[in-house]
Amino acid sequence: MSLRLEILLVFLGMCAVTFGSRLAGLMLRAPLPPFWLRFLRFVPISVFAALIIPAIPGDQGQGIMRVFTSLLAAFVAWRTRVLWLTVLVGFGTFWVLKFFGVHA
Amino acid sequence: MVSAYFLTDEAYGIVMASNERSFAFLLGCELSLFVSWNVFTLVGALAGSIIADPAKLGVDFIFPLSFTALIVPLLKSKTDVIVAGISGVLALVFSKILPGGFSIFATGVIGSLLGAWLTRSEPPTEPNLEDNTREVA
Repeated sequence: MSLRLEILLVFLGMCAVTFGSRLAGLMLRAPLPPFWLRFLRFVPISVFAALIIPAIPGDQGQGIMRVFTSLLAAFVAWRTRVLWLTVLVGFGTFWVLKFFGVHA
Repeated sequence: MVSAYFLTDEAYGIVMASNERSFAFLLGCELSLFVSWNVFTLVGALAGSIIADPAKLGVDFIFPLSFTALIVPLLKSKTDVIVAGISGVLALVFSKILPGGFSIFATGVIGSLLGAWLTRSEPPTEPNLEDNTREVA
């Protein structure tokens, strides 16, 4: 496996950009008006929802199954607040349904 | 400086979902993800050909499931649930018309603006608001 110079340069450039933006976020300490403090409080909620919802249906034609198991997993997360249990129940149910030939 | 190198969405998520805000806690989250990520990437690279087609197993489903576990503890008020719901719908629409990253970004900005606007009548309750400074991101 040979590594060409321009590819190595692209790697290093991507490292610099990614690391720089993460560092800037952590180092920055700026006074913010209350509106933007409240704004920041909603960033994780909004972004997580944006990451979750479009990823639920998948591309294998199992949308209904996956919506159903996601709701079940959300219920487990709400009652237990345990991450691994949520993933286990959600994925386990998904596989059990699949095992019994459900494909919807 | 060190913690920025290992920063990922998931580490940020875990820190935001807990009440702990410290360098040590953030770095701990980041490193536990970083180490297992790289170890299992190696395992995957070596053993990947054994598993036929990861997509057929529905492995991508783990992603929304784990973020579900992260978002649920954040939903403490009615406004939180409203913002999450509207953001979800927005993201669904945007993901059809915008390239990947932009739909997340656009949803995040609109959803957070909505949340800030919905809570405009609430008094500031952030504990570290006294000096009006706060660590961003």
